[in-house]
Amino acid sequence: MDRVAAASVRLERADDLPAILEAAFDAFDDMLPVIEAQQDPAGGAFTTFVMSAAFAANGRDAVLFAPSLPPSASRGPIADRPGCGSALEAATALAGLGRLLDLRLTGAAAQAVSPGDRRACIDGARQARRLVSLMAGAAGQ
Amino acid sequence: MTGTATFGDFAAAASNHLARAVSLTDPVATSRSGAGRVTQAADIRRGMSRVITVISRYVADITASTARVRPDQHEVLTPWARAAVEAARALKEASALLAPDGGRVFGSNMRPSASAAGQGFDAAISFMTAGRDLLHTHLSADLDGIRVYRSEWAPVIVSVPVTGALMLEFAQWAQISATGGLKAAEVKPPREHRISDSIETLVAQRRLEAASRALLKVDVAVHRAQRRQPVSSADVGLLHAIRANVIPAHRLPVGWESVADLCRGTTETAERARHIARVVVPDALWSPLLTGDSLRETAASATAVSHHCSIVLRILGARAAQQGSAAVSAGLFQSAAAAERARDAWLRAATMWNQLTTETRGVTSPVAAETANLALWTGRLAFADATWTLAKGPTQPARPLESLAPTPSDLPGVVAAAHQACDALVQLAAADHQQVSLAAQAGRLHSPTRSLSDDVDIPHPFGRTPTGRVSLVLDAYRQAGQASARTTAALSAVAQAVRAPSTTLTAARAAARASRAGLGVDGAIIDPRPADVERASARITELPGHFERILSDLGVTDPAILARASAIDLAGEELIIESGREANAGSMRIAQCAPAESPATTALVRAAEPGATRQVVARPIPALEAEAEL
Repeated sequence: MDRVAAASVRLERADDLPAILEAAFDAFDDMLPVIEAQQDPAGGAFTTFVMSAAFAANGRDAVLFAPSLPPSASRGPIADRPGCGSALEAATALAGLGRLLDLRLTGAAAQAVSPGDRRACIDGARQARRLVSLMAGAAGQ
Repeated sequence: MTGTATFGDFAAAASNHLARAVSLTDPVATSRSGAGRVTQAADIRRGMSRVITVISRYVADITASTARVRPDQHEVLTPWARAAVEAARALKEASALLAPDGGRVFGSNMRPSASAAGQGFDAAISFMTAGRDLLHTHLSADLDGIRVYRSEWAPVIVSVPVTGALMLEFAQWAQISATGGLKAAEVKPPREHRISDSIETLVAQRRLEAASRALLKVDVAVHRAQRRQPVSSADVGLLHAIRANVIPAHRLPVGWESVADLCRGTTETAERARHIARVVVPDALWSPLLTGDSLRETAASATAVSHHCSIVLRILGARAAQQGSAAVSAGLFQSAAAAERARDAWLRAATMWNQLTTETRGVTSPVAAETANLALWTGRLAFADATWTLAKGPTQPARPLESLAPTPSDLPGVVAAAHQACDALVQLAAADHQQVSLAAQAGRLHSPTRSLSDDVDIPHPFGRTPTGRVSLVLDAYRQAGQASARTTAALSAVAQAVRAPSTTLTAARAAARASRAGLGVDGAIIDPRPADVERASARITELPGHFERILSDLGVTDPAILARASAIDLAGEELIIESGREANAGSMRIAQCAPAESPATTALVRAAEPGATRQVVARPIPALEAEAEL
């Protein structure tokens, strides 16, 4: 869950639109290996994690085409496959990061001047909310 | 089933009304006045003329694809194609005999008949026309007159067995009508008639008799074909099961549905998903609805549907064992295992989308929405909570055995629902495979730069998806489609054993497969070259391979031999994929082959289209760099 925690810190610290977009892109992208690690058909939340991966990738793609996303974004290495925590731990961490993404992207949408940026933020926030609705259930919240 | 009228309903009503009309045709009834007898005879002549017109339209639909075949080439036609040509000839003869002035003698067709027998004919004709209209909702023609399939039933309707069943149907109508005509021809002119009127009536009666005998030739031709290439009662049942091409209304479960309601909802949603999936494919080159969001959500929902079906099938398997049906139980557990493999294959396809997107986004397509609905309906069947959703949390217990199928008679309905859902996944895999392929050709697929090779220098957060990755995605969809097809095949056997309502689906798929492969089509009773829409949605898992196609062209119809050929094709395909991977992932690809057609058909097409050539041999395409941009 370290990667999720680190993504949360970066997202909290981002202070302008490009930084928020880049941090949001990384946060969504970092969620994917954490979610994939929980896609165990024998687990009770299998389909919840499968759909959550789709929402996380949708959110990442929403900000991927934002005009203000720095060209350097998405240039870093792919995240390593995380250690396998419990489904409950993963769902809790992901729900928290999803809420933060919703908050920061909704706020960024209000500040965005370019329609492309605004749409990217709104779409990203919407995908974050979809993800939170699933992860909160899986976390028993 | 939704209770919508079927072709069988219209056909039965037409036959009943015709039979009633004939029974009311009494040439020697003393109670009927002379004028009444004449009116009845006139009504029957007019009714027969209209019956001939309607049957001629049915026949014209069938012979449309043989129109270019010269009479001296008729020997190469299938028995049914030849019967259609003979029927057309007999109908033309009957029509000319009955109404040498082209029907003007009968006046307006809208005028209702005065006699009870005539009214029976009128009613029968209405149902016959409605039946044809119903079939036509599945097919249309484009501006070039090429047949366009508008539903998944279209290839079934044009298949040889169903065409044969249709011909048996209208041969029966022709036979009943001819019997009525012969009876009416015996009516004597009333004594009070003037001599000139009597002569006119007698001439009309002789024409009616001759026309009736000509009409009987339709029945003779059709039954000759039936002896040579028999159509089974199952084929007739399939024809009768065809409904109008109307998509079931969209609906979602509200929480208090019975298991029967959930099965109905699952079936209707599966039908909607199949219909929408086949419609969207041709638009993949440009449609803004084709988004990475939609394709990955569809794959994720398909994973959930497979997972839910596996749970449902395991519950049913345990229940069948409790109820003492060991064979059915074993079939259900095999189906559940197949559904689990399909689930894993779909999950691989869904995961591929973590490294892929499209230039359009933020839109959820109707296909993705319907697949999500299907996941909800099947989830409600699988889990005990009547208000189950994906967000309900991880501790959801599966539905108790006795709740899903309280009695053995409840089992077929649930099997049918799972069967329909898994069949929809086969169609979805084929549709999405096609969409991804077309989107790649149009340069619509992109990947985050982070996920691309270090050798790729792109000054943007995203770049075109490499060819090798597209091949892997297509391969994932192919595997998902094949795994779903295996689940459907396993469920077909169970559905057959328990006589589930979805057995019609199995028969329809077999007929459509034969139609696409040209099985049994030595001539052109059906157009073996599907129109663009059909080509676009041709299902990867059902297209015959090289060996299977050759055997089909040789006229081999033995399912066991064709299955062996299919296995050889599959092994060959896997070998090519494996070799391709080893030789730097996608260094070779196979050119598309033309649809299968028999040597006889090829000869006919060549004769009709001199100079036309077709690419029928798979050939390697020059090697492509695995990571080169499309």
